[in-house]
Amino acid sequence: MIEVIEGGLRLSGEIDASCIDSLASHLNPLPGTTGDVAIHLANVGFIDSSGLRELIDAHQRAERSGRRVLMTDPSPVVVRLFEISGLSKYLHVA
Amino acid sequence: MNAFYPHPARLKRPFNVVDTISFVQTPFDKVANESFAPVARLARQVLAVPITFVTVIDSAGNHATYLLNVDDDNENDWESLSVAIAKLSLASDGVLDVRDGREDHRLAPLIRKTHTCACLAERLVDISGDICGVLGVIDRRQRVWTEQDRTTLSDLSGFAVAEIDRRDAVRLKFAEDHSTEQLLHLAKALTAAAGLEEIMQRTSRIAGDLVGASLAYAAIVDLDTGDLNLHYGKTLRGRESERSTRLRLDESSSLGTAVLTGRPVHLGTADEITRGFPLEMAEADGIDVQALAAYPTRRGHAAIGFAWSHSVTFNDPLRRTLATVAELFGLGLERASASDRDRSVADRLQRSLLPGVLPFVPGAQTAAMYEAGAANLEVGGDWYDIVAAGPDRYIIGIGDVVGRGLHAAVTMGELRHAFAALVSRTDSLSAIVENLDHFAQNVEGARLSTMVAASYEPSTGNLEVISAGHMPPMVHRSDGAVMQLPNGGPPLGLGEQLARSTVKTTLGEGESLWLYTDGLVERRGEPVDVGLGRLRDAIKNSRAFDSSAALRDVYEELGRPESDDVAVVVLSR
Repeated sequence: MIEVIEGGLRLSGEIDASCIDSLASHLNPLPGTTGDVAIHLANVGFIDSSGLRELIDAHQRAERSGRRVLMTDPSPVVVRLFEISGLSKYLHVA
Repeated sequence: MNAFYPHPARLKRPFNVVDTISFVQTPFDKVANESFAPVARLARQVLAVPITFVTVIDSAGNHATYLLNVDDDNENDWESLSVAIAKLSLASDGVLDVRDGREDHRLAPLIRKTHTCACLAERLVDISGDICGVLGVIDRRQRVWTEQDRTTLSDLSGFAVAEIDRRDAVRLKFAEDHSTEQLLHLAKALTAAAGLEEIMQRTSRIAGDLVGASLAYAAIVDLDTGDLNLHYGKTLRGRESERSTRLRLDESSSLGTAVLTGRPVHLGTADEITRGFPLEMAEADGIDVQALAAYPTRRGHAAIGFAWSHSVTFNDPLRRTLATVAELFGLGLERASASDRDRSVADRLQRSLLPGVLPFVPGAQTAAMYEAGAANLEVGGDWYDIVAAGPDRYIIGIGDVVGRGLHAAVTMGELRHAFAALVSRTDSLSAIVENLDHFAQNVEGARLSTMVAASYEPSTGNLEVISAGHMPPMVHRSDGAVMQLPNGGPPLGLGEQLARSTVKTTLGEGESLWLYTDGLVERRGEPVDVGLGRLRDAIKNSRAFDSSAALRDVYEELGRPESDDVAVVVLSR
């Protein structure tokens, strides 16, 4: 599930093909025009590869315009997923 | 460039300087031609002449000229004059000696245009006796060239030849550096080729250029007639011509021998060709064949041949490139000739993109599998391959392209072909991954692909493993423990130079390496560590000494995933 919150998005449940189009439309263009974008991941149970791709795309779009996407409060499952995917150092995980 | 020398056949210098990086395109490119400036300046000082030039000529009669000290306004006149002088000195016995050009009808118009008068030129001959150019000096007044002048020019010619040889070396280095790129180009072209015909055409067209051969032959065995069907493309210098023909499949030809014995044939000189294959053509499509090579494909029904118009030293880099071209050709054929078994187009494509036969790895057993997701009609982008990189080095690759369907399958094929192409071109494992990383940035749909590349040394069991965002490889130790190797770094194609670490370990006897894609372990609504734990347990309980049986055990234990596809490669020592 995707909720728009102050300064970013809150994701919950399973992030996979069923919600990927919605996620993409919320992240492109990035919310707001300046400053960091926070994506809250505390209640996420699973992210598949297409979901990871959207997060990376958002990360790269932000970097290009001098902004940052922060992956905030990730659930243990997400932390592990970032580790396994070699992304923990690449993404800004807070 | 104009071809001007009347007997190009006499100029045997192969594949040469004129063909260098920017020489041909911009003969007056001052920067590109600066390498001849020292010789030209020396000639000007010693012989006290205002103008000197070096003209370089190749076997096809192409030429390029470096002129010292001329005004840019009349550049064309100057080039015409130097070319005219070069022609005349080549047509003479090697030296052109003109006291007053106004009296020589062949030169007079250009001499008048450039306000010059006398000239002296000598042809440049390299150590093997091949003509490679002309060094000339021009004076503005009448001049009787002395014996001393001639000797001086002759001495300076030696410097010019040395410079040309150096440029040749640079060019060969340039070709070497760019062959990786060209191999990737071939890999891509072959992935996009639709049928057997197109595979043969594209291979023969591109492969020749890759190794500086005048002709490349793609040959496949016609199973109905037992003949070899040949397709060849002549690619040098844009003079493209293509033809198809047939050859008897026997050991009277180098290609036939390669197919029948499964071993490459190298014939570096015309003598070797005559001795080894007296029936082999000495001239093919206007090319005076001086060297031949023939490489069989991995599965054996086909071979690729190369013909050079000059002798060739088959050094390691060249052999590696030739073997890679054969490998790519074989992969292309495998894919194109995939059987018409009753499967969806995409599934068939996927299976045909995966290796039909894994290579024999000395002292080890290999097993691999691919299975499409049960609940999904489309295929995914999982791939794997094992490629021999040398007598004691095998590279194993496994990967997963994001997305599903035809597009993912095609992208996966491109990555796998690129992987195969890079293995034999690249010495270090990290360079293979770096190159694939770069490749993935430029291939639509390959971004964020994950992969593991592993290098295995059969004699010692030494393993090097790099993971790019992929599921962690597992090593089953002889004491029963299953070790999960750490991740090396992020997925491919993120567009930045990201470091990935290499994990080194050794596979002892009875131990095995497990590489797999996420479909084997990931299950909906379950943390990935649970799946990894299940895999470790399954490996622990498997029959470690027989890799195929172990693979079956593990797959049965874990069950088919709902939607994802699964690929697994096991190597046991």
